[in-house]
Amino acid sequence: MASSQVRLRILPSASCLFDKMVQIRLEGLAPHKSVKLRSKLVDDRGVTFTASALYVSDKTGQIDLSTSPSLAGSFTGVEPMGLFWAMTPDTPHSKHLKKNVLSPTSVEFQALCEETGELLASGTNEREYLIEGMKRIPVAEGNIRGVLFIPPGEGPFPGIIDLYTFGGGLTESRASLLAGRGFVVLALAYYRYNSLPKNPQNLNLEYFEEALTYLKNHSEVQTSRIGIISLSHSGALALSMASFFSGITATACINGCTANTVIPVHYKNQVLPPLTPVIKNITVTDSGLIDIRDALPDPTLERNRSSLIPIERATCHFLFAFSEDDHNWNSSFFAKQAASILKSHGKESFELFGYPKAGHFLEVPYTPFCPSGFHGAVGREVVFGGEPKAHSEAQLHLWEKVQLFFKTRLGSKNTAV
Amino acid sequence: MSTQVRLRLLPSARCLYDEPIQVKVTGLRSRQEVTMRARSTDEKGVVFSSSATYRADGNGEIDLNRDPSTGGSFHGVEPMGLLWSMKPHMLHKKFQKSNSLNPHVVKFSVHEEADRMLAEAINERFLLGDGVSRVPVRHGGIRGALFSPPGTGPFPAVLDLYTFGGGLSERRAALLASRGFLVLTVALYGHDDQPQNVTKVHLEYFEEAIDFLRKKEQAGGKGVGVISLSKSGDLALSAASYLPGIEAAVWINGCSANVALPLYYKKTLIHPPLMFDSKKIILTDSGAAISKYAMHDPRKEQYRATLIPIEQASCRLLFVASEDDLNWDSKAYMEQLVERLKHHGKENFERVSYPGAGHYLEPPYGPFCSSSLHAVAGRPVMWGGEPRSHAAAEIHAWKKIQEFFKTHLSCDAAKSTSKL
Repeated sequence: MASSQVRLRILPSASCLFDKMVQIRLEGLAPHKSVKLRSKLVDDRGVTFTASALYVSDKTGQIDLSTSPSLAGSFTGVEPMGLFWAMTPDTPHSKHLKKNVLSPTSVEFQALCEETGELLASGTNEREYLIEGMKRIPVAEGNIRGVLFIPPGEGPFPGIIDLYTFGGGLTESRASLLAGRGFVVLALAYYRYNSLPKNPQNLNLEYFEEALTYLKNHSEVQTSRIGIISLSHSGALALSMASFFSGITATACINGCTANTVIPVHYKNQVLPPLTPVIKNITVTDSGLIDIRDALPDPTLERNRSSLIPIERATCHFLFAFSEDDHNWNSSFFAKQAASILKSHGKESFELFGYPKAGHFLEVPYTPFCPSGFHGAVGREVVFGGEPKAHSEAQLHLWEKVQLFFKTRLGSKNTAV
Repeated sequence: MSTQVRLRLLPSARCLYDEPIQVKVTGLRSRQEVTMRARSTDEKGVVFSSSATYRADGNGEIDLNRDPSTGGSFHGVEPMGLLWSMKPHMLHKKFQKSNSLNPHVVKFSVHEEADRMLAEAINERFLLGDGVSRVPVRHGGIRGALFSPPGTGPFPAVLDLYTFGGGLSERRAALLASRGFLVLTVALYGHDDQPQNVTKVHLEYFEEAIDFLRKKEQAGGKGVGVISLSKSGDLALSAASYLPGIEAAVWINGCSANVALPLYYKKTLIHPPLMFDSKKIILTDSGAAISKYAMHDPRKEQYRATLIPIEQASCRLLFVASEDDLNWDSKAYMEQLVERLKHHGKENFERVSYPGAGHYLEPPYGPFCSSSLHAVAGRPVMWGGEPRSHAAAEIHAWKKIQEFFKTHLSCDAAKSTSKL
C-alpha cells in the first residue's frame, strides 16, 4: 500500500480553539495495519511535549480516534483526545507554558508504520486562543499591568479578573478563552512582569483594588457585573478582594487556600501574614520528589488565625473547585473549610466541586498534565498529585462549570459557541 | 524464653545528622553472638547498608560505645561505625542527600544466626535543627537557599559553595545553621531556572551572593565566611582574593589554581582553566579511574595564569587537606598555597591535613564513598581514603571549621547603621 494514499485528517478543522475537541482520523491504510500515532508540541519555554499510541486499522483501512482503542503507549482504550492530555515533557518536571496567545499552540501529528517506522502521514492541529474579532490589549494604566481581552460584538460585557498561580509573570490562555464566551477578561499580573517588582516582599491589596476599579470603569464593561477567577496561590488574593472590596459579584477559586500563603498581603494598615509551613509534615516520595501536601497547618487554629481570610465579609457568589489528589496542599480541606465558614455565617451562595484523582493544576481542557515541577516557594521539585486521565476529565468538567457559573451570576452576551 | 530483645538509640532516635548516638542492645542471651546492621536509602533510591558482628556481655547486652566489632564492615570499637561504613548495593554510588527538609533515615537492626531479626530501631538524623528556618532564594541571579538559626540574631554569616556538579545541596548549609550560623548556599548551575550546564564561572555571582547575605537583618559582623569543597575551593580563593566583604574562608581539598572552567568578572577573563591530561588517568579494575596524577602542574610556565593570587586576600584562611585524596593532590596544593603566602610575608592562614582521608570531607557520619561519578570527567573515579580514618577526619574537620568561623567572624551584638 503506497503511503501517499494515507491521509491524516483533523476534523472538523485543523484549526480550532484550544479547549475544543477534535476528531483525528487516518484513512487509506491497509486493513489491520499496526500504526503508531505520535503527537508533539513545543511550548514557549522550548520544552517538547509528546505522546504516542498504537492503533490497528479496521477492515476498511481506517483509524478513527473517537472509536478506535489505543492498544499501547501513553494511554490505552478509546481516548479521542488522549494524544493531547497524555503528553509528557522531554525535560522532566516541566509545566506547559504558553505566554503568547497571539499565536496558536501547534500540535504536530505523525502516523508511523509500526513494523518499519516509515512515516505514513502527518498533520498539524493549530489550537487557537482568540476568536475572530476579539481584541487583545496590553494594559499599563496607573500601577496595573496585564492584558485585557474584549470579545467581538456589542458591549458592554460582564468583566472578569483572571489571577493565575505563584511564580509571577502572566499567563493569558485561560483569560483569552474565557473572553471568547462573552466576557471582558483582564489577565492581571502582580509581580515579575513588565515594570512590576521582581521579588516583592509583600503584595498590596490596593493594587488589586486599582485593577478592580479599572475594570469596572472600562467602557466595555458592565460596572455591576464583575467576577474573579483564580488558581492556587492567587486564590487568597481573590478571596481577599471579595472580602475587602465591594462590587464583586462572583468569585471562582480553584485549588486555593482559605489563608494567605508565601508572601504577606498588606491592605491599608492590615497585614495578612502567610501561613507558616510545618516542615516535619513534608515528606519525600520514592522518586526523590518533595511532597508538601500536609505542610500547611489549619488556618482556623488560634496561632494561624491572622492568615485566615475573612470571607464571611464577602457578599458575592462563590465557586470552590478542588482536586482530591492535590499534593501542593490539601485543597479538599481548604475548599470544604471555606464552605463551612460561609455556612456558619448564614451564607449559602456557593458551589463546591471535588475531583477525585485530579492534581493541582486544573487548567483549560487539553493542557498537558503536570505531575511535578520546581516549586518556587519550596526551592525544589515537588509532586502535584493527580492521574492523567482523571485530571483531564476534571479539567473538562470544571471548564463547563466555570463558564456556567459566570454566565449565571454575571450574565453574558455570548455570540461565540 | 528469653526476655524481649531491645535495640535502643540513645539519648534519642531523633538527632541531628552530625550528632553521635549510642547504640545499645539488651535482652540477648549471655555472650550471644549477633550481627548488627544499618540500612538507608538515598534520594536516588540507592540502598546503602553495613553490618558487623558483636558478642553480648554476661548480661546479654551490647553497647557500641564499648564493644568491639569482631568482623563485617569494620573491626574494633567504633560507636558510629555502622553509619559511616554503609556501602551502596551498586558500584560507584555516593549517598545522595541534598534536600534538607527531611531527615537522613537509618534503620538499625540486630540479627541472630540464619539472619533472623531480633529487634530494630529507626534513627532519624535531621539536617534542620529545631527552629532553624529555610527559605528558598531567587534574588537577582542568585539561586539557592538561606538557613537561619532560631531567633533574631545577629548571627555570623557564611556563604556555602558546596556543589560543583549542578543543582543545590543543602546538607552542609542546614547543619551549619543548626550550629548557629546564618548560611546562604548557592547553586552554580542546574537549579531552578538556571541552565543545565555552564562553560564559565562569573565571579560577580559570588559578589552578588555575599552582598545579599551581608545585607540580611540577622547577619552580624563586618563580613561573611565562605566554605567550599573541591572545585569550589578555588572559587573561594578567587572570591577571597578579589572580592570585598569576606572575613574568613575555608578551603577543603581544593586546588591552588582555577580549575576546569574559565573565571570571568563580568566580561573580563581573570583566570583561564587548569585542565587535566587524559593520558595520565589510571584505570582500575572496578572501572573507576584515578585522576590524581592527571592534573597539569599549575606552577609550570604555560599554566601560571591559572594560579590564584591568594596573597591578595585580606581575610583569614583555613586550608583543610586529605592526604589520601585521589581526585587530585590536595595536600600538595595546600603546600603550594602556604608557600605562596609565606613568600609574600603573609601569616593569615591555618592548615590541617588528615592522613587516610579521601576527597569528600563532609559533615560527619555520612556513608564513606570510595568511588562515584565525577561531575567533570563524566565517569566514576576513586576518591581515596580509608573509611575509619576518613570518618575520624570528618569529625575533627567539622569541629575545626565551626571553631574557625566562630573565632574569625566578627559578630556584633547590634546591627550598626552602616548597613543599608
